Amino acid sequence: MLEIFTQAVSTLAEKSGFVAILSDWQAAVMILVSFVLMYLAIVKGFEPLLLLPIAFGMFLTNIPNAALYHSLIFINETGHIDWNMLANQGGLLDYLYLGVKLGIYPPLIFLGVGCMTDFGPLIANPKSFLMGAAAQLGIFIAFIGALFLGFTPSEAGSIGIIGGADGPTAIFTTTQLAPHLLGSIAIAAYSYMALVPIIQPPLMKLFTTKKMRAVRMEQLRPVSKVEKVVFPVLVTLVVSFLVPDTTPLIGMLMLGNLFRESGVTERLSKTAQNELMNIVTIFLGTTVGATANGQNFLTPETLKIICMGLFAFAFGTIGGVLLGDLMYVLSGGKINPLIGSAGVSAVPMAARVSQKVGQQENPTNFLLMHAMGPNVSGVIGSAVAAGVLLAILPHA
Amino acid sequence: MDLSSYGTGVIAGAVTFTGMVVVFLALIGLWAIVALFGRIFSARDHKPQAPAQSGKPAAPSAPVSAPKGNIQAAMQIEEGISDEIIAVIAGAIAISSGGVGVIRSVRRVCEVRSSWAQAGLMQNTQPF
Repeated sequence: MLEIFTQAVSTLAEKSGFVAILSDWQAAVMILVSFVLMYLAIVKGFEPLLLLPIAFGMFLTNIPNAALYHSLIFINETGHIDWNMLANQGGLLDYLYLGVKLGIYPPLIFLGVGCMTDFGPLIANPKSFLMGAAAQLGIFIAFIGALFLGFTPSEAGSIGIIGGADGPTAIFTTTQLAPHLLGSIAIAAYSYMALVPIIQPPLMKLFTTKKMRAVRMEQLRPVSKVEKVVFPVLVTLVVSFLVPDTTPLIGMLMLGNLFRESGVTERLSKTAQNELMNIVTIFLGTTVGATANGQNFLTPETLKIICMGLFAFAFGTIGGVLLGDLMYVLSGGKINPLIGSAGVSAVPMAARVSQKVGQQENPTNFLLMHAMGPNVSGVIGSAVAAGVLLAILPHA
Repeated sequence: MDLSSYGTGVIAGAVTFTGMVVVFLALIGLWAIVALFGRIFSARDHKPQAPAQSGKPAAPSAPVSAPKGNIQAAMQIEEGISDEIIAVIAGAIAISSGGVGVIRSVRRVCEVRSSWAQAGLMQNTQPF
């Protein structure tokens, strides 16, 4: 009996993570990284709705011998999902990851985002579309930077899309272009989105004068219901015909918005923006975090991705503000260029930053609604940019 | 697309140029269409008001009170503005215009928010 007990304890000890972690320093480091991310999400409030599941997914995937996620099922020589391996060895996170790999979760998140987005400020001031376009400069500057750092064009495209400041778009693009970088790119994207209030203000002040920042903009015109109902159909038509690769994202975003604005599908709208979006967020965050194992994450490439991500956000902000400067001049000083920085997406954080910086110059200035125009235009702009990258660059 | 036969510089330039052009094209197209729709709907919303205004040219608009006395016969004064204020404004205009200026209407400019509205907005937006 004692012998059996000793053998059982010995077997358990061999299979336990405590023993296995001693021979896998990378997993130990990754677990520590996941703790840091959990701290940032819980204590510092860095995009907690996504960073917390991402961090916990990272923690789970690095637990030795737990076998919750197998990257070989999804990233292998064939370039396709290894269905046999999935059936025989698949863990919980492998099955949930199918929603990422097959491009299901990001469009569903966009469905919920569409239900929550009011495009009224953009419809009332359609010039905002230009700022949303200019702020996509960061994507392509980071793409160039990543290319010259030695990444392949597909990897560089995935890194550049961090500048779109749009998590689902970044995940959707990376899954198709460079799935092996998904963990690093998603973490960089969400971390920088949380850091928008720190990254943007110095650049906004650098590229504007005190006089420009103090401009009070005219009140937006009221937008009729018909305009709001027609808008999602119109955007889907124009963008999807021009860049069909982005249809899953734009189509779902605009379907959600049509649910919201039509006024006849309140139940669907509520479900899409609450229960459905929360469920998908849990699955998406956890499984994206699960892709960040030691072999993929603890590499010099991750550091380069993090640097390029910052680069992308900075140039996106500069692009939006510079176009804002141009519009300030052309409008005879009627447009406050600070709203241009909101074109990087990161809804609604970037618009809040415009509001805050504007109010520092003139406490009676309220730019929030004006900045929401470029902000939601940036979502459309980054989806278009993603469509271009998906159409041009070779898929994994 | 197969990009393997091109150098890094060519790929960087071509993708960036194509990307920015397509993004701007798409969003400029949307700007034009949305602006056009806006004009159509704005014109439609203002249409019913036009005949009502042209039908009664002499009638004062809703917030404006009836003319007061002979001096103000051609002047439209918003409800709630006292005669003393009108006198002060008229005096200031007379001095600045050398006595040739004519006041046609006096109304409050509602550009500045009330202190309560201002306080409410500050409270709601300051945390951002």
